[in-house]
Amino acid sequence: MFKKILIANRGEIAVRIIRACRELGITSAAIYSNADKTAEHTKLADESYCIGNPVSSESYLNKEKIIKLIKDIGADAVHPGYGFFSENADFITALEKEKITFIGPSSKSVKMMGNKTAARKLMADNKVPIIPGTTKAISSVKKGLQIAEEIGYPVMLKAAAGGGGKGMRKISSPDEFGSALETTKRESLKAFASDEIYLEKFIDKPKHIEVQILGDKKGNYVHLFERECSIQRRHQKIIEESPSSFVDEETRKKITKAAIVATKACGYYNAGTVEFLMDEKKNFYFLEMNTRLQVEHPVTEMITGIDLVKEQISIAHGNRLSVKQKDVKRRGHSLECRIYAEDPNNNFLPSNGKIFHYKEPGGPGVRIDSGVGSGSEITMYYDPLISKLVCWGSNREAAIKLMKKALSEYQIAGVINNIPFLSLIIAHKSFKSGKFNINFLNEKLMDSLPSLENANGKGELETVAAIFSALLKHNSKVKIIHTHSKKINRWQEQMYE
Amino acid sequence: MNEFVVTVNEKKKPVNILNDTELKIKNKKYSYEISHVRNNTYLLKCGNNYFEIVADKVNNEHFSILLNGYHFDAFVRTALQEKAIHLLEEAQTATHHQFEVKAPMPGIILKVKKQGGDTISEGESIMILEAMKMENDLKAPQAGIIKEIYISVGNTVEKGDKLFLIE
Repeated sequence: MFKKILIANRGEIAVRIIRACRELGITSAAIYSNADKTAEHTKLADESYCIGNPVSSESYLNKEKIIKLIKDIGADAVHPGYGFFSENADFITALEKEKITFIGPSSKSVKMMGNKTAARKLMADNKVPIIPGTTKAISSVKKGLQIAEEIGYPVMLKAAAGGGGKGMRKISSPDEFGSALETTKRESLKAFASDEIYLEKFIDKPKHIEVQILGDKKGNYVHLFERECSIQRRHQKIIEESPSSFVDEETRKKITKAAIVATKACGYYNAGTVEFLMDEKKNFYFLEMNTRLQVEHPVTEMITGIDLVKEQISIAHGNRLSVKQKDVKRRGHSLECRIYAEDPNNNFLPSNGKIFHYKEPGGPGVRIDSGVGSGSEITMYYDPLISKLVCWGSNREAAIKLMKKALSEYQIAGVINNIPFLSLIIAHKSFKSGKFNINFLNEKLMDSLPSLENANGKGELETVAAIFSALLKHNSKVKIIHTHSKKINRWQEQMYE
Repeated sequence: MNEFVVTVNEKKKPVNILNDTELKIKNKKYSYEISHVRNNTYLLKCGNNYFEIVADKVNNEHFSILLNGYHFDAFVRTALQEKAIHLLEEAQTATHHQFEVKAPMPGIILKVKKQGGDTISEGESIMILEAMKMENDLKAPQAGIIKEIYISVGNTVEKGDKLFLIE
């Protein structure tokens, strides 16, 4: 097995990987930027190395520095987590040249799936259903208009190098086409260093269904069932679950089979996710393949009992998969809520600041993957994900109830966070019934958010906050009872006798 | 002085502390009792309800509060301070008609579409601020002339930083 793994990431996912290394008896080496000197992953790892300035390009995305460090400290493998270098073929190629193991797929598989148009073509060739549209970049506005006319509006413009909901735009009529193409190109160039844009038909009211797979270097594959991730804001997931309440056994068979075909088509090994859109008639279409560990991987771990990170490490080392398909069983239902430092009442803008108080919920069936604690700083440099709250119940209803309780116990003070917002979603009748699609937040919730919050007593809480603040400001004259008194009351004394 | 004006979520609430156990907001009277439990944690009894509050003093006027899962930024001034500031603002707008636009979020200025002296109409795009890989169009809140632009392309801004001045 590996002796030392360098974790080229930060936050909760770095913490998650360090824990897996510790269980496997592997030395973990963390990297951190100047902004993360006191971060949880920095403190938790066996060894921690400062890699540079807070800006990602000078730290977590500084390829040369990271590779030099790997060699200097004698790490024999690198885990990229998600984001940063996880799907960067150049980084993987550089490691391959240095004979350092990348805990992930080959650079070749990443390239095959990284370009969305090439991936669409590969899928079509392998009879995995794709959304009608182009399998090449649009060469001109004129050509684009012509294709859009053929497949019918509305259509979607998407960055060929994109993914994860970034660099895409809906077009409802021909007159929007020119300017939308220009903006999408500019965004794509900036975010993905490519202005290749392709076009596909807009699927109305779809659900986001994805399949978790595992493949080893010996050509063995298993799927670990589906996840539903339809609750999204700004095309980014905030609640995920497994199984999906919408997918029946027959559809499950078909979609997991398609996912395995997709995975084999790119010669894949590692944990991976094949994403699909599913329409109201349960037709599904290939969206993209994420050639890495997903943020929402814990829900699959909760229902299958398989540790995906440990499995990734084992696969990278050249071992066979630890399970065969017939031995992969699922049990119960799991939900994940992504806890973000952001303001749902203000277009989900990130909220920066110091978390001065942090208290996690607990109890059976509650798991928290977190990268913060009291005193942690949420900065503008990185994704404002605070943690992931994962619940497991024997069925969906039980998991929802548990999530509701866990959210109400969770205390994060100092930054605006989306916990009250998540509570409103999981209490919503459409969420409970499973009748929702990727437009749920925009169509069903955002407009009524202020009234839902007030029904939940937010107005009254504002008054209480005002009273409290006035009293604190006035505290020289107000009687504040300090409870750290030395007198122990009789009842407590008896309790501890 | 026992009269305060607290701003929470842009709503102003006048709080008048009557004595050690009672206070008034507008005409409504509340009984209260406050205990400091530990560090940042307080217990406030208001009427017949108990609230556990976690709070931190950001500065003399600004408290960061966690209450039943909600985060509130509360800004407290004495009624006198509030009145003085209000009068000052009124005097300024009466003579200058100037309006400062501030950054709604931290980010990087990607593009500045206008320059000092340009006439702009309400809702017109002035600059693009990038935050979390999203481009945010910053629009003119009112028509007028751009008096000054405080930043340039590539600048990193914090929430609340001055961006430009409209007259």
